[in-house]
Amino acid sequence: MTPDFDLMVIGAGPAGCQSGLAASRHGLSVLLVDEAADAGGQVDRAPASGLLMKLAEHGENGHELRRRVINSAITLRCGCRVWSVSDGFRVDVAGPSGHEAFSAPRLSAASGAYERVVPFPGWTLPGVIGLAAATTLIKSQGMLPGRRIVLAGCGPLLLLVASKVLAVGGEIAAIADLASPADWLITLPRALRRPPLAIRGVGWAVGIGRSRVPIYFRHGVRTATGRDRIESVEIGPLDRSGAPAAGNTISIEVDALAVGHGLVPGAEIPQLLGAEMIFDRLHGGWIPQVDKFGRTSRPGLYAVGDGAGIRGAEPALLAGELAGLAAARDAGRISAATYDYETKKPLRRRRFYAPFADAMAGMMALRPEQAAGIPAETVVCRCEDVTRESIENAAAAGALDVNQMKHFTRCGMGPCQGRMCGDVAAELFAQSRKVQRDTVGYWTARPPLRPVTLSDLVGSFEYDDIPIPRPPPL
Amino acid sequence: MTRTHDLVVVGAGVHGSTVALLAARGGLKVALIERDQICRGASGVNAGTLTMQMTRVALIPYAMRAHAMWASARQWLGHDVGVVVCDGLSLAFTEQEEELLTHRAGKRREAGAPIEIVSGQHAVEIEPGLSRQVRTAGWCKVDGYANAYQTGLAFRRALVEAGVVLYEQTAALGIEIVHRGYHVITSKDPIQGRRLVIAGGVWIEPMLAWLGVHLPIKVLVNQLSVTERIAPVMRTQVGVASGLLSLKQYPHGTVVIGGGWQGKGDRVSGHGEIVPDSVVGNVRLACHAIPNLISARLTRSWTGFEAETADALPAVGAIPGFTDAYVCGSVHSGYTSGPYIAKLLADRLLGREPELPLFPIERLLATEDSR
Amino acid sequence: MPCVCFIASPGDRPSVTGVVDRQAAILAARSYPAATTGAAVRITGEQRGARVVICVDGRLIEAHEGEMVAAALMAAGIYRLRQSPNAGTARGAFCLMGVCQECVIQVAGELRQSCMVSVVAGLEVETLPTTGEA
Repeated sequence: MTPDFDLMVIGAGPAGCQSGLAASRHGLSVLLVDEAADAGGQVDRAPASGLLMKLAEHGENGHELRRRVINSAITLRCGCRVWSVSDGFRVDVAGPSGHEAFSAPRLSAASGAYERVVPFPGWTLPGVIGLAAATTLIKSQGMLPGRRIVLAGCGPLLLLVASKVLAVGGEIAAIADLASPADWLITLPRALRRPPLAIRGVGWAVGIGRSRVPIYFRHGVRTATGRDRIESVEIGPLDRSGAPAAGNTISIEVDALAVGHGLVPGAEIPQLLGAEMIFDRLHGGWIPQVDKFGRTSRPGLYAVGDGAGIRGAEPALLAGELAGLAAARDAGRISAATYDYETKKPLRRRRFYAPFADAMAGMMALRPEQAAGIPAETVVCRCEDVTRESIENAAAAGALDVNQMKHFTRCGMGPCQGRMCGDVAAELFAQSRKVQRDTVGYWTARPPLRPVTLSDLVGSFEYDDIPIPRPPPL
Repeated sequence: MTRTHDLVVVGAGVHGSTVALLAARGGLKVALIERDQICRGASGVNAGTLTMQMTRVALIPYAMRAHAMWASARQWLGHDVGVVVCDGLSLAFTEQEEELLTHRAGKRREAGAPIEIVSGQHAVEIEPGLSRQVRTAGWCKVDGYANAYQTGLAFRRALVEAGVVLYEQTAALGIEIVHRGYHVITSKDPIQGRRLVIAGGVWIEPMLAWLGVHLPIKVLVNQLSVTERIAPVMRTQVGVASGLLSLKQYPHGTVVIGGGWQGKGDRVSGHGEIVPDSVVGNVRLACHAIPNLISARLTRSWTGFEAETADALPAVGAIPGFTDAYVCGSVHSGYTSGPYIAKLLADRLLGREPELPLFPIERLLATEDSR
Repeated sequence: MPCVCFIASPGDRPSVTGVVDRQAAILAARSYPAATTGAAVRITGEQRGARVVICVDGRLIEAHEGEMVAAALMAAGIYRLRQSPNAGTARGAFCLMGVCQECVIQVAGELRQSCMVSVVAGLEVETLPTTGEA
């Protein structure tokens, strides 16, 4: 069967777009698919149509990226949800035109990342949102999450959201940062390798400092309370490792809480296709093993961007470029000499930026003690209301890996397919079994890659269309 | 010196686990070897259907008794596997399906399954969520389902309580005949038993080959899908005359869609892969039967292996040419009949006459000139 | 009560005409709640898509064309979208990027993640009922 394309890219964030652009530049026919209405992923998410914000900082990157993709020979399919990847390779998509399937000998997985929130009592209350969610609200919807906001968690997103809220005149009641000022200062030398980012970061910090917003370093959310939505937050001290420490707690009335503890790589596609995976705590958890060009252990499969390890937007662009070039090389469209020449600069830049990327990843990586601090009766799996206690009982009942734990508890069986709870649940389970994190494995990836409505799958059909073979023997 | 158990069972699916459990309760010292975890293979991932309407005629007497065992799991197993006993409907949408249904239901009824043929209208009264395009249906009150993924935890608890020695994450790699009985080489330490039961599902073929016995077993790669929890859309267990649909909604709201649509996979790698077109076909059939499903969202599809012998009947009985060695598996709808079939073998092991005949495997052995 | 001026955006599809007429009539006749505290706040002074009216659980609320439905609901103070199927606790939008599935409600008669749907004039939205209702 003739393939439809030379390369299919799943995920049109910076890494996916760049992957497609580099390959397309060298003559490969490329399909770029994303379930969002526009390319850009999360970091370069397109603003709501009609929204033109004065605070268009970094909006230009997204516009530029979208423009380059549209002006290229890439076939862009937005609003299309990939629900299955199989064979070598077939991609099944549910979108406006119903169920479609595409094939190509090469596939680039650029599914990005999602936010990790370490559970606390009340985290499921309406009005509690992620830091990435708060970013989206501000940048692409032109809205503040509320009139009296608490921000909590760790990592550069905390800083980013705080500065944006202040820049548009919002009120932050408090910031609770797991890190200490010293933790931030240590990253500064590495940040200097990225002067624009360093200046931006320092600018944010100074702005926040001057705003007189109460900042509680080495603090985290103890509880969120409210009847049907959030009404108040209690924050309390943490020790160096992120576990709750003794000391006074502070109760604050709020109408919004934005909280986030780093990012988890969306590595389902490499998992589903049987690529070798490794557990890399610094870069977010389970990631596919890749060479420096993004080739996974499965021939023809590339993994790029945050979905292959949390490193941020700039490294994602570079990884995308390298994988696009690798795809072109593997397809025999560019010579070894051209390949060596074109990959030199992105490789060098990525090496140069790596220490800063790792420093930021380090601010976001999950520390075992954070999970250890979760109260027993706290819901960990939101979809199925599975508590920490249930997860630990599974270990006590003899479950050996996270898949068996899932069978014992229903943790991870809901529609989010284990994304919101998976990292923390596995951490709790491994601690409970007193084994290393990688020993307990990861949940077996299966289609659909995201929930898909049966109507999208079946399309319009006649009963006779259904291929029913001969009935089994009687 | 390796300790010698009275009985070594290789494979901890429903068959192996039930044999091990009942043998231990009967006084034998039992070791149960499992390369993964208890009931994580087919026994943990099947659709849980407990129906007579997809059961082979020859197996109906066994399935009826197994149904009673599942329905009373709390008593004999001691732990819940989420069994719901409810009506079952097998649907006919076309004239040919009606003929097929009537013929098959008749045969199954003769074998002892209380199946009645009802009109489409009557079927809709029994199952209000049904498509109005149903012409006739087979209706059976001895039906229902279990929650397959609960099987592992339930059996594990029972096995531990009964004193069965569990060797999980221990792959059997070979079997040798020794003075004391059978010496099973594993990925960990070897395990010895005076008597042996091979209950390895699709791996029965390679396992018997260790003993020089050749019993071809075909590997079916069955696909299943499940929705998120939704408001009630059905209250019976639903299938179709052709046998290619199983459909039920669990008390917690998820709907499991099955029926034997094929994925891809093999027993050497042990992995199965979803075939997207099979998902679409299966889901279309499901939506045709229960129209309100159309607005539900599918959250997961997966595969499981099913073993099938040449005549699609079980391989349960003594292994010819060996003393005190038995095989138990490849039952076809093995989960449904599993506990009872395994009980018969356990009875034999404990010196009792099985209530119903076993399924001697001589008929299935491939002829081999070299033997 | 704020005076809302409904401006049809250029290039309205013919199928929206009926809705546009209905909108104008509704706007002339009714008033609707302004955003209160305990709601997301639209940053003042930004240029947005056309102001439109959508219908949420039978109530009319003001939004802007092109906005994320989940965000428009938050701006109207509507946070509780559904309840968790197991324990029945109140849930609302959480990740706003299509991952958590907490914002799934009925949008134009279909179960959709409301963070992945854009507001159009006359959109019918229903939050999911608490247990005991149909």
